[in-house]
Amino acid sequence: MKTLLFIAMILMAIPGMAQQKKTVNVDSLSEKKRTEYLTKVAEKVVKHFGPGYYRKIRPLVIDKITITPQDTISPPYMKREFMGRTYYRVRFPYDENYEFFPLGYAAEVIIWADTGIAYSVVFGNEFGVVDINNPKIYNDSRYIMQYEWQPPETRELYKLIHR
Amino acid sequence: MMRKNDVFRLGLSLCILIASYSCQDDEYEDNSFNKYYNANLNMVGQAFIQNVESTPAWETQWATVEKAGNPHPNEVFCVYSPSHGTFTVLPVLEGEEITHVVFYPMTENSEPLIIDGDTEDYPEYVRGFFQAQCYATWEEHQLKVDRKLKTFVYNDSIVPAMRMANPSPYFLPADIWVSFTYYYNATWTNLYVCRAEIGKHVENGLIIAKRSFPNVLFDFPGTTHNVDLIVQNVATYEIASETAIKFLDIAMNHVRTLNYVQRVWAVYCWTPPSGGASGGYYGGFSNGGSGKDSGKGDDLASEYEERFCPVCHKRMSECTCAISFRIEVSPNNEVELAKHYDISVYIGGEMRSEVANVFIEMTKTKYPNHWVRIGGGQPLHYTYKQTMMAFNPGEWVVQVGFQLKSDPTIGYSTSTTKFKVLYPHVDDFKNDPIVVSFFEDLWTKCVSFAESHQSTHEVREFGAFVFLNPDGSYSCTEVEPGPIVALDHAGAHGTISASTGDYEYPSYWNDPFRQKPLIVGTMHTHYPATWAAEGIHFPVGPSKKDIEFAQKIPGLVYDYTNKIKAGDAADNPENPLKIWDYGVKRRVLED
Ligand SMILES: [Zn+2]
Ligand SMILES: [Zn+2]
Repeated sequence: MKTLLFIAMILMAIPGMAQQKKTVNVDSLSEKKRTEYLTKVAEKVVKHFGPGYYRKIRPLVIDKITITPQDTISPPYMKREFMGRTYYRVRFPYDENYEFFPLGYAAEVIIWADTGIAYSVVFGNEFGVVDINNPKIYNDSRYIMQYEWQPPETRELYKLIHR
Repeated sequence: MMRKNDVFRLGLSLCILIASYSCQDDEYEDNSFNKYYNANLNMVGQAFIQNVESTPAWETQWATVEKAGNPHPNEVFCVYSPSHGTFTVLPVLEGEEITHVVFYPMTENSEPLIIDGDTEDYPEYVRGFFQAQCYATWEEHQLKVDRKLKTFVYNDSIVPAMRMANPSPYFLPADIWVSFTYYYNATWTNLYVCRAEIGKHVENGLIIAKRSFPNVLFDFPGTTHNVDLIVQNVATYEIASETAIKFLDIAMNHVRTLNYVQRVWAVYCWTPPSGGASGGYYGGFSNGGSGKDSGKGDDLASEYEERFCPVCHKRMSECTCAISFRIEVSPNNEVELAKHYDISVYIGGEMRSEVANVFIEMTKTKYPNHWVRIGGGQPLHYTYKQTMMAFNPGEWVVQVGFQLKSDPTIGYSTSTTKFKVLYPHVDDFKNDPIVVSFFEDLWTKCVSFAESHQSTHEVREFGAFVFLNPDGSYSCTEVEPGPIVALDHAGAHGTISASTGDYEYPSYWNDPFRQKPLIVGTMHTHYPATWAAEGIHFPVGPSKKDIEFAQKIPGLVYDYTNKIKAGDAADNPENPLKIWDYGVKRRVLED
């Protein structure tokens, strides 16, 4: 039911200013095409929501994750709404000699496998935006993340978090 | 020329002095008392004589005293026992030996009591005075005390090892004696103030000791009974006895912090656990810790044998130095707050048996040479031990002062020992029920703030400092909540800050007996994402600002287990709240 509602919402969004107007089944693409597609979508998302976090190091780090009860990667809010669904996690490496991000990456974009639509973006500072294909969010400049440089030594400070 | 003039002036003033003395002679007529005006009285002696003089019928009393021998007003001191009362004691000498002691009870209209070794019918307080070796102060001043007086012991307060009902509480009574300086301006009012203050310190000392030994119950000493300790939950009588002795050491050390207190004794009125002194009377003393080993001299001897001189590195017993001191802190050189520790002094060298008294002094390395004397007494088997309660964090250094039998001047050891008193580990308090329930209250405030500001998406953080109290418990003091922030844009987040300096109890940081609650950590809440603007996602756990502040003090933050987004329920069983700890594991020592 939730999934249906979500799809309905996306359909409603299509006539608006949302970034993605059509859906793509990412899983059906060849590996090369899939990588190209995911890279293109993720780049567009990062350039839109946090241009300061855009990094050029390639390839991007791509993982395919299916949301299961045992899954320790997906946050609780994804498990609550999208149990069983599969997504691709696309992450942007960065130069650790120049800066530090507690996330471990400059940015991370989540793209649904079945629709090819981006669901969320989280930046190196671990803050982010979900439901990014929603035109209300996509078109609101308050959702754009400001970049703040943190020197590589900041890594030492973060060791004081005992996870 | 100048010199001659001075001599002349001096001669003149002497004449005037003599004139004024003869005036007084006339007033008091020919009484033997007046010879003390000319005697070499010190401040104590003068104060005492003035007081005697102000008592009605003092002349006849004094005449009786003088009949007994040669009174020494300079050697007067006061002694207080919760169960026996307060007395001023005056030694009376025959030749070089104290043969009589005059007890002046500190009660209205009481007559002084003159005691000698042959007195048969003396009250219990006299027995207690000698039993507790209160006369040792005179011996330290090289006065001999009649052997018959020294053998006085309690009549009726010898308590056998008494085991109470099962499982295993033991009843261990002790009699406390505190001797203190006869005030220079010793009016009765001043003495009453001292007595009240000592009484209070005895009480507080017992409370402090209780922190280390929660299994010990005690009665506050009243005016009619001594300190009765009840040691619970111990396996053997030996452990009970040892516990009681340590307990009394800690309590008595607190009494010793009063600057006018000379010596403190707790006489153990129980029979030794096994194979100790014969005659059914232990006769141990808690005198700065040295007494606690009086029942086990063999242990002390073998402990001593295992020590090496810090100077010549030979065994203490074979040390070839003139005199040397080895100072050890146990169980180790890193002591936890609100725990007790022992300072042991081992005396070596050819002159080791010449040491009459040792004194232990401490200061923080941050305050070099601000030595604070924390206790002292006679060594036993060239060893002196003192039990302390750690409640002042920092790096400390210990030195030893000593008096030789032949010379009352205090010398100091060249060797010192350092140790640290550490703040508690974050694991010791992060799950403390008081901390947890305080967090729950802060969180309730935080959620209700966010809920009532949902239209503006505003939140704020709530926080507190975690304190460790002298009784070993933790408590929390709330600070000003953090600034209000609206969770309506990417990267929005709250903060909170407070300065330890604004909440720390002000008091002298170099006091080894400091008893003020200490800040040991910070605690604050984050906030629910429930009413944040749609689409906002944020991480959980300590933020960069949080860890920056936690480089010197452990932090606790109350937050969800996993990352959250707008619309997530404030109370979500799939993403429960938890206490995250971060930063240093113990507050960094700064003082
Ligand atoms: Zn030596
Ligand atoms: Zn925080």
